[in-house]
Amino acid sequence: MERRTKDSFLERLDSFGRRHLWLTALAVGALALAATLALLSHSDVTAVVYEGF
Amino acid sequence: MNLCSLEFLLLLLVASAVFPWIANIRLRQSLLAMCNAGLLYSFVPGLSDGLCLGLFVASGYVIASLLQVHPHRWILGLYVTLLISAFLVLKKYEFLAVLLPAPVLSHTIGIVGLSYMLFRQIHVAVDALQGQIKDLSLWTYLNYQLNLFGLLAGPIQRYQDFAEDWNRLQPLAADSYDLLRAYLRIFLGVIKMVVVSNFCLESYESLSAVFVDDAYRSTGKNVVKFFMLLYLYPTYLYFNFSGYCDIAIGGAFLFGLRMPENFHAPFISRNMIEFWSRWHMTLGMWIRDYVFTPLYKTIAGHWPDRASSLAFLCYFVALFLAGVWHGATWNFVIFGLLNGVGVSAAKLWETLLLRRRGRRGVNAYLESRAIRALAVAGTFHFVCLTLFFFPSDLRRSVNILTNFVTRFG
Amino acid sequence: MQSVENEIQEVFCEVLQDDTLALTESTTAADVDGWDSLIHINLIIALERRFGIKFATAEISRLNSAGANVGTLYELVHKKIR
Repeated sequence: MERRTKDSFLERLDSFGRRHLWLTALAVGALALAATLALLSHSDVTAVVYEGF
Repeated sequence: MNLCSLEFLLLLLVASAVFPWIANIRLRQSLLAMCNAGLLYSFVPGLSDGLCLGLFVASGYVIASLLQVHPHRWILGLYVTLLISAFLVLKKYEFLAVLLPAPVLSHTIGIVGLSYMLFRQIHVAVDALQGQIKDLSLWTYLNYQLNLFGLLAGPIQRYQDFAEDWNRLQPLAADSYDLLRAYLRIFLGVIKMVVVSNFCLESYESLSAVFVDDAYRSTGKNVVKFFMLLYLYPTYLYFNFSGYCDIAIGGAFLFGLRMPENFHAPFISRNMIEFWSRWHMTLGMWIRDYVFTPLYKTIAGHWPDRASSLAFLCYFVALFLAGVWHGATWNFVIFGLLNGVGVSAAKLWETLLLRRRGRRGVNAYLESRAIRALAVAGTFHFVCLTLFFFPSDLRRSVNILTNFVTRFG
Repeated sequence: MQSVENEIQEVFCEVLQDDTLALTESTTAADVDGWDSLIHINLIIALERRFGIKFATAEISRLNSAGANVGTLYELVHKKIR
């Protein structure tokens, strides 16, 4: 069966983010802005495997 | 309404901000239920579609309730057969054209997320028969099937896991970091879908235009272009689908639901069996649990001596079905065949290796970095080959391939 | 009278063809060489025969999931033979 080795990089990133909450908040803000700008320029993006209409 | 849209994001932000402030669990459930209904409504084109959807979903609850009281295998068998038949007709599987009259297949009914609903339905029915569902209620079942965070493209969650969270629906964030991380994930998902996957798609489309019949011009560097084409589609698909899952999983977390993961570094898989435990994981696990395991268990139970050789057949059948589940057009048959072959070949290789080198030899083989690198590269290329047939226009895909092969040579 | 755990250990040794196997509650599939999806099902079949029980699809799935270990199996078998 398939088992994973621990994602130590992600764990380290997590604990860093937790200790520097303001940095995380900043990152969220930046990504929110980036996401909004991206959506404003590309209005119709759907998942390839979507089963909607 | 699309999960990757400004309207959805805004609504999500507002609703998720309100959610933790609602003191009563029933009211929190109602808020989520309203959101589920809202998204669903935007995907029901007309009354007949709505009725069909209602029937499809309601039948699952009715049968599951019946099976809990009268656990007869024939009821399950009959229901699953009818359900799958209805599914094949509703999705207009192309092979049906030779079996059914044209009017049947020219219906205009469209049910959102039907393929995902089918799997959730079958799992609930099987588990209900086997006494594995403790708290089946219409309220929970409807919100499970129509959960906006899984309706359109999964992840395919199990009823018991959903019910566990639903029955105590409450904010899951233990601290501000958990909350921020959920929002981070959502926005990252949007960027993956809108920026990265779109870029890959546009590059793929302009490259594939080079190889398509009328436009074919031998401008040189055809091999490079073809391989870029080959790599771009899976990359596009990965960022598109995993981006959607990030939005769905991150969003669900904000409403007290822990959706299962769907991707875990799929392109570092060393063989196709591992690939399906890293790519669209909830599909792989569903197929493993509800197709592969019962199939192999039946075979190994009745024909223990032939079990090991028939195992390859089980792998093939399971992954072939996973492949054709993706869509009704013929390209998915090829996709399914290739996956079936890839997975059974991986198992065959493993078996041969074990026979030749013994357990110690296999362990040494698995630890070799050079072999691992080769295996990962090989698997990645095989995956690219299978996904070459993922776009529905099979004629175009074959055209690209033939043009590349014949003109390059 | 053999304990359930000992019987399970015997079944494992038979199916995995390894008499040196020593299971503890925290042993997982990753710790045991050769414990793959097929062996998992063979184990299930052998356990069903040995104890006269039947595993449900969801139970087999749970035994196959992250966090499941031999201890999970012991618990489940105990529950089913009661």
